[in-house]
Amino acid sequence: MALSLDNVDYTYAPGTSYAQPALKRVSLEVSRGELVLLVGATGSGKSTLLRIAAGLLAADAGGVLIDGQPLTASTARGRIGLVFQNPESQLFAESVSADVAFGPKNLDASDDQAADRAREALRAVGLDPDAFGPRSPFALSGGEARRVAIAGVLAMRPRYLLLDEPTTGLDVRGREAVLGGLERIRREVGIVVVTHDAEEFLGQADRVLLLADGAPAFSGTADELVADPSPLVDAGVGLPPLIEAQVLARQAGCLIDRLSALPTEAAEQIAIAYRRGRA
Amino acid sequence: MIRFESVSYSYPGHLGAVSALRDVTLQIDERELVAVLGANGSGKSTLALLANGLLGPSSGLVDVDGIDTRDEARAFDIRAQVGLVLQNPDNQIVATTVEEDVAFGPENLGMPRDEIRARVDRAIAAVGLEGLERREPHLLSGGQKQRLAIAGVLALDPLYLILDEPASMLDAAGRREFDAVLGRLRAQGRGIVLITHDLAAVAGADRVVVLAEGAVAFDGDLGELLRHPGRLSEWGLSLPPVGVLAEELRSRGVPIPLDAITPLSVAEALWR
Amino acid sequence: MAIPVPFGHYVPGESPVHRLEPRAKLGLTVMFSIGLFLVNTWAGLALCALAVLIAVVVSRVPWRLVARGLLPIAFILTFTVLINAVVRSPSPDTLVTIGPLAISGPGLERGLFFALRIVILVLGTTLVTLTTSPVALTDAIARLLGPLERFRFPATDVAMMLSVALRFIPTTAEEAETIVVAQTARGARFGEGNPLRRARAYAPVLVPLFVALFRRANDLALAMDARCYRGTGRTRLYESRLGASDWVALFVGSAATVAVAVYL
Repeated sequence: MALSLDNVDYTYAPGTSYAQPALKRVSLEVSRGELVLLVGATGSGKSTLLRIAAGLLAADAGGVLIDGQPLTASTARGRIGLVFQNPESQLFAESVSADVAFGPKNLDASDDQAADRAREALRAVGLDPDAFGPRSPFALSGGEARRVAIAGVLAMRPRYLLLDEPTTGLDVRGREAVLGGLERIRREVGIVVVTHDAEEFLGQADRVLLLADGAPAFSGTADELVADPSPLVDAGVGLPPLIEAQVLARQAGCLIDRLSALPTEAAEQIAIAYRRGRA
Repeated sequence: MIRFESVSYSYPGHLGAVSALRDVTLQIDERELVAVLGANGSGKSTLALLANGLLGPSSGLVDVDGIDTRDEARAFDIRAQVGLVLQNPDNQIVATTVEEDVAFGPENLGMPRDEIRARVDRAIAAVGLEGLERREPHLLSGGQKQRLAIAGVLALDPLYLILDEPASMLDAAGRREFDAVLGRLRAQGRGIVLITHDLAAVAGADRVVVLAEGAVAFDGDLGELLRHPGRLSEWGLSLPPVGVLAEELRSRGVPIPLDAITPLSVAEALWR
Repeated sequence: MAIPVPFGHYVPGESPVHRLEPRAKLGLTVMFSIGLFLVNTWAGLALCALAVLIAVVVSRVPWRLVARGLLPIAFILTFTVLINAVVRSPSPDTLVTIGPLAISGPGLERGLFFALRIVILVLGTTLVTLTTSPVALTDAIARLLGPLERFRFPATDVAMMLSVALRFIPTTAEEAETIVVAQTARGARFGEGNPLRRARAYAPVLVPLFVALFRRANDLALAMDARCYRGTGRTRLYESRLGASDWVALFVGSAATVAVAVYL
């Protein structure tokens, strides 16, 4: 049971003088319970790939399957949830609960079902439905609005959740809340997070797809990428500061055995190497 | 110097007055880079608007090089001295081409054409947007828009520059471009106030001020701030992963200086 | 743009028509329109048509673009001809009889005259919008309104409003598209059902768009204040100036208008 894109190609304005190849033989797969990180610099094609994965764009070549079926606008409906960048700019209803219930209602849920799904979704992102339900979506803080927008997509109970830069523009508390929400629903959905900032999610991700100029520059487990993060540099994304610190430490003569995306582990490794060096 | 003396600010809300700043006293000298840290809702954006007179304090005094910001006759003098760049660059770009937008400020002050031209060229060079003078704003990248917003303010040649969350909407490349511009602005000797919620961005600051719930919770240097990192979460802030790394190393007996929160500074400490 | 509008989209170029200073262009257009409506002989109308023809040829703008401006008024043109030509029968000067109605000779001639006049007018104004950028047009209008500032008319503010609106058209269009896609991803369907239903379906797009626009207006006002905008006393980096050829064009144009209006 997976959402899979196999050797997908995509070109904007094909056959005209403005033709721009955006994706060249890119593959992406996410199963239920997995969190896949899609990283790349601006213009690397990650937003295009996300739209193809959501069924909004049709690939020029390559297969796109959802749970074994070809992905179309209708097979995607209700099964794939897409959260755009700055999704709070799409809030429109009179109350938070009405906004979150919009999705389920469009999928022909009854009013009661939609309301239940809305409550469930709000709880999943850490917002109390009784406290937040009646509030106006325009009177929320940035982090709260972001979570309401995500809840609006979760309420449709998608099997796969695609998020484009979910933590950009949020402060510390907002980011913690969104990350917490994703952790809470991880087991039930397959998640793809698109980001230019690998540091935020590298520790949580199972697998990583790194794009450079529309082509895959790395595709493997997060651990593999942390062990050798050079593809990130080559792709123009740059090293996450924590990884960079470890890489520079190695260059400074600290022979660390193993790099890590988690500060505590990294500290442990560096401390060992440091003491060894001092001995 | 920009001086805040016991400044409070509140505005009318649905359920009564909302207090945004409470009894804030601080000062910013020219040639300083001061980082103002705070979570959303801490009052940092209000501080920015008070510093250049767009808002007047409910009580207390804000003065810029001796001029009271409430002095309406001198409002433009203050705004030309204290440049303000807001968070969303798109909502500050007014004209249909890059150079005409940079010219907006000088045009408002009725400067003659060659003066405007000179200032526009200087400002565009300072932010590295040469060659894009005739570009339409909606065709610029996020980082370029941010630099355009800064150029628009630089054209007024302000002594102080207040940047509200300049990097929050930028990607890695955009942040690199911004850091380069910040370096150039510092070299020009302007007083810079960098408002942010991201501790990783304050490594190079001369001084750090923390705002929490409208009040000044800390005013000093970064090392001093990080001596007691437990307070950070109370203030809605957190150490970046590199900072946590440094903490964890210190607790394992590896000597890393308190204010080392960048990869380079941590690695340098290990090298010795 | 797929929507046929009675004005053309700016097509950049270097022809004398393009290079004519925008205020001169607007002035000439106004005079031409006045002259056109004062003419009442076929000879005069033919001269006006010739003037527009020459202008189009000189501008090197493709004819199909100019002619596109006529599409939206096709109905008005037909209506003008018919309402003048068709009378109740019997009546003198009948050309053809169709049941209780008849087509009158002089009536038809009148109808055609009026219709042709409208065609010439629309072709002329379409040519102006094809050869002048929107920014140049709004600047020209603003400067022409400038003297009204003496009578407390906020000409600078109006000019600012026009140019800011222009600046945000592409940005707002992008935002609208993003919102439509986002709501579609939440299962919203647009373009279905009766007109009332269709209108209501757009609430999830219009509400957020308007909220964003108000927030933007707020931020923009602050940013403009911060950069010392005060509604008067502005100078400009770029300002078009009337040159010798512009004055010549204006002079010739006025003379021609007066001559045609008086004699034809």
